[in-house]
This record gives sequence, structure tokens and C-alpha cells, in this order.
Amino acid sequence: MKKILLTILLSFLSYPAFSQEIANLFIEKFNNDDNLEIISIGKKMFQVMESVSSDNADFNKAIKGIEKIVVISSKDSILNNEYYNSAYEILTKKKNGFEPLLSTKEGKDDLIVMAKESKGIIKELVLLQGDKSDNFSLITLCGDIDLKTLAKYSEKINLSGLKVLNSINEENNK
Amino acid sequence: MRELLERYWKCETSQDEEQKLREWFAGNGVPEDLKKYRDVFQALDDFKELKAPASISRKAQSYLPAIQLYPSLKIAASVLIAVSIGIGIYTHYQQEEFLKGVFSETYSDPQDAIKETQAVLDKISSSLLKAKDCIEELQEDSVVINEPEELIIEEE
Repeated sequence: MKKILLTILLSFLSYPAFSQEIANLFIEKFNNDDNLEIISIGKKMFQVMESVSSDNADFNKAIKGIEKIVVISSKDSILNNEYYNSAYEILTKKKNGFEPLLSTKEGKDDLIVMAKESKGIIKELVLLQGDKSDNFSLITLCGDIDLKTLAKYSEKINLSGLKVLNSINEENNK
Repeated sequence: MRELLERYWKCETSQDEEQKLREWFAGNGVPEDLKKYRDVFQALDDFKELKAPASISRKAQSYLPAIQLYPSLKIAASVLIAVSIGIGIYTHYQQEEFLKGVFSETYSDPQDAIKETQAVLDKISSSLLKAKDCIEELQEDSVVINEPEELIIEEE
């Protein structure tokens, strides 16, 4: 009986350690911060979008595995640096399980794309962008993210930048 | 009594029977072959009369309240654990509710949601395009560096 109770207790204590979405971790740090603008599109809306845009097969295919999109942004030039650094810290912590896909810097603009995988499927794709003064944005896609499908969608609607996903995918497969 | 003694060695005797054995060995009717065990039972009697020194006795007595409190401590610890678990569950629930509120659906009109989703995909692709441009630029630079210099031989 004691062993059962101890197991239950330990499972409750370890619950918070289970992987949390990056958006949740970020917002928990900046509780009720009015400077942050949050846009959230959830599972139910994705189901509605799928039915509404039934004539747009490419769009539906691209969003098929996606369950949630969250966009967190800010235009507060004073706090953007802090937001960017905090998001970067959370993303790069090993325990949160994100692996870098790419990282670039163009002028003052920093761009990082990271992904969290589970059993070979990307569960969360994160794009962190900021120039540490004028802009900050954290975009997360949650669900079963298929990079190939996203790449095909971009080809079909002339979003040529997603072709890079193809090349990254091929490199990963090598 | 021999039978009782046999049972004593097998630890099968009751306290009353052991008392009988002690009294019998303290008396005079003990057979010669059993007199060797008289000292054993005499020692048992002596141990019974032993008393702890006053200092040890006082120390032992000081532990008594703690020993008596032990069942209450167990109950208090159980209550504390249960309350901690309850607070943990409540806090977790509150946090979940807060996050649900923060990440509630922004759009009620699916058309607006579609536009935003397309904008997100566009943003991702344009960002990746920038990255691709950077990679290509770096690759071009590395080609320039690796080009061998021309060897110029001056004729005398």
C-alpha cells in the first residue's frame, strides 16, 4: 500500500516535468504582460477551417496535422531584448527537448527555427525572430508537423521559401 | 521437570512454566546431572532484579513522551502530505485555467483564422528563404576563398 501511495505521489511531483509547449513556458514567465500580443488558433478552429476551405485541398493538406498555432509578438523596443533572450533560453534548455533546424542572422535580425520531435514526428515547430529592438515574434506550430507536406504547399502557392525545408529534410535523411 | 526442561530448551515453555523451573532449580531437589543448569536459572533470576542506573532511567524516561507522540506524528505527516498534494493539484488546475484563458481562440470567424494561418505559413517560408539566401551567400564566399591564385611567371 505504501509503495502504491509513494508511486502516485512521485507521479504527481514529476507531472510538471512532462514536456510543455514553448508558448506555455514563455507566458508563465511573463504573466499578464500587456506588452505581449497573443494570437491563438486552436484545434477546434482548425476543424472549422478544414470544413470551410474544403475547396482548397492544398491548404487543408498543409494544416492537416497542425492542432494549434500561437503567435506571440511585441513592438515594445525596450522589452524586446528581454523577450527574445527569455524565449531563446527556454528553447535552448536541454530538458525542453528542442533541436535546432536553422539559425541565421541578417543585420540586426536574428532568426532561429527549432523543432521538438517524438518518435520521428515533429510535434512542435518554433520560429523565434527578433532584432532585439523593433520586433519580437515567437511562432509555434503544435501537432503532427509534416515538413514535406508544408514544403509541397509552399511550392503550390509560390511560397518558395519553404523549399528550404525540402533541402533540410534531404540533408537530414542523408 | 525433565520434560519441562526439554521444552524450555526448545523455547516451548510459557512464563509460568519458566517460573516453575526457576523455583525448582533454586530448591534442593535437583538431580546431580541437572545441577549444571542451576547457574543458568539463577542468572535469569538475578537479571530480573537488575535495575537501570538512575541516569539511564531518567534518559529512558525522557524518550517516553516522544514515543507516545509517535502515532500523532504519523497522522500529522499524512495530513501534511495530503494537504501538499491538494495544494499542488489546485495550483496546477489554476495554472491550466489561466493558460486556457490566455490561449483561447482569437478568432471567431474562420475566414480571419484562415488568413492568419496563411500569414504564419508565409512568415515561416519567408524567414526560411532569408536563411537559404544566407547559406547560398556563404557557399559562394567559400568558393571564392578556395579558388587557387594564378601563377605568374615573369620572363627575364
